[in-house]
Amino acid sequence: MKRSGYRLLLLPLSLLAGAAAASENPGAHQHGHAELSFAVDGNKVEVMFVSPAYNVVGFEHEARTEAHTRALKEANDWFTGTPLIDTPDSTCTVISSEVHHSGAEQEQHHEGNEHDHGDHGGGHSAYEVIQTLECPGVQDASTLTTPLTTRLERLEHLDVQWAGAMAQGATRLEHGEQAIELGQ
Amino acid sequence: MKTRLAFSLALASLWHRRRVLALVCLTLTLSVSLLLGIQYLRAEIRQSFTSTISGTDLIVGARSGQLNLLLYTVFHIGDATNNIRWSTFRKLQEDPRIDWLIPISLGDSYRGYRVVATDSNFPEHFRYGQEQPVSLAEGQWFSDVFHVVLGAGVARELGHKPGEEIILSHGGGRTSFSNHEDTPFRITGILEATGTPVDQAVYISLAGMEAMHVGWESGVAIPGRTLTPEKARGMTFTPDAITAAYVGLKSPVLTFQLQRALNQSAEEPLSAILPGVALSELWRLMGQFEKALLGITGFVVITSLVGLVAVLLTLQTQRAHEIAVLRATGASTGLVASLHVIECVALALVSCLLALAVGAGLLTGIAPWLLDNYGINLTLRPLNPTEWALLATVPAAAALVGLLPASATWRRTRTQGLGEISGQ
Repeated sequence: MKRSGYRLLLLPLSLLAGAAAASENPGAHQHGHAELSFAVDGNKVEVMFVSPAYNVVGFEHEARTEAHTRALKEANDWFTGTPLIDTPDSTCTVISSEVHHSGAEQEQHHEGNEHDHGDHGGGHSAYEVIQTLECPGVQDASTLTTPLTTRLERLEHLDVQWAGAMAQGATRLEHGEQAIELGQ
Repeated sequence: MKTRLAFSLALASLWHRRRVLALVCLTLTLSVSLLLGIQYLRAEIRQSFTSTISGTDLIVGARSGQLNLLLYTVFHIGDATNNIRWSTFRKLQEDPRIDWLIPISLGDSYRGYRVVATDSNFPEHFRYGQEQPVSLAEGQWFSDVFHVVLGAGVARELGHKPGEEIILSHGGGRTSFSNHEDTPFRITGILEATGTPVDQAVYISLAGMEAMHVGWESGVAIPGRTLTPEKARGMTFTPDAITAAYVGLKSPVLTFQLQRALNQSAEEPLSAILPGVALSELWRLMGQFEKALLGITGFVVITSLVGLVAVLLTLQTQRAHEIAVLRATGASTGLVASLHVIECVALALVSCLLALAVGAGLLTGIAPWLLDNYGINLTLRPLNPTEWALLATVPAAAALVGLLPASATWRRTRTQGLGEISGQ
């Protein structure tokens, strides 16, 4: 019996599909990795960025020195004033920005760089930034940019997801890659 | 003047050896067709694959991974880990952020094809491809508890027509010994072919799904407790649970907000996925296969070009007389060498044109057959920039290949004492 070619191609993938974390489970915390989501409606863009604080300021404990305090303030100022998504013509402006820096938490830890610490209790903190942007011309753009992968030195890869009239999609940017091709 | 002379000489030489070169041209045409065809199919299948579902902002199901949820709700592969409560679905219906919801209930089958229980929101809101709605090729959508609508692939494979009665089976699998014999369904409509998994499913109402399971326990019908169609028609059925729901939002800006809220739902463990994102991830996983395929085709073209060099070098030995005549009549070594390059590029260009014609003809001929028999939807379209670039590499590579016999000729004519005449 002839069946859709998709079924045959996709069958092994059903085995790869892992279970997502339940609402009670702590979120994964992987240094070097962060997530950026944005949704577009007209010229309005809603952005959410979630990252371990290590990627942003280089430490996850409370500020102990003046340098730490300065780094936290600089990060806060940057997230408040810099659009995390922009058009190639840099038309985006920040309408509102909420920066949440969670304190040390008991989270599952995955050291993404070279070794895996496995599950252990460790003090971790994360940044969550929610921005509302006004981006004239965003609907016509086939490529958008993000300054995150160049600004955050410790960020090795950034998973990007988007939704809007231009359909949904996802991509992964490596450090230094700024362009988000919406067609992929 | 020299360029014109070179072209006229090259074309005359090509025409003189047309029989042998036609075979070379044929080989190259087949290779280019293969290369271009695979690239074209890759783009088309990707487009078709990522357009399996469109216009749906979220798919909500029981807690699961996004690929798992996508596979069993959209592609009908694998099984649901759990169901979601009907009360949860009702709450979603009251959410002001949600524009529409399509409930999906899975679990049964018809001769190996999935039975999808849904409601009238499916034909109204479900979209695939470029926001195309599912439409009926024959008949009408179900309006009775025991009405069934068949996907185009199911109707074609099993030869069903509207008006026929079918018996659905309990559970999945191609061969089932538990059939809903007491509650036959009448086919009221057959969907248009979409080239998506919609073609491979059977659609009934949620009430129909509930009605045929009345009196069933542990996967077995209890004699005397099942319903007759007449009795069922007088009853109202409300499901306890459904498998998943497709969600359309009032604004796409709410997508991530609602996804987050649903994924953190304290009332029931839910997973909300973005189908477009999940499809992108799935395609990325499958991307290695297509890269391997393209690599193999590249080797085919390289092999053909190597064959072209071999043929040209062989023919060169037979062209000693022709070259000698050209040189004796005053043709420079550069002119003679350029004949080889022009010859190779001309062959490549003709092969490219033929490959385009063959590809377009083949696609026009087999596209309806592919859609009817395999559910693969291919359309004839202009080549995209990548495909043009790929095509352009063939004459460019041929020009480089032509340099080999050209330089050999140039060296030989000089060593044979037929070097440049002073002043030429």
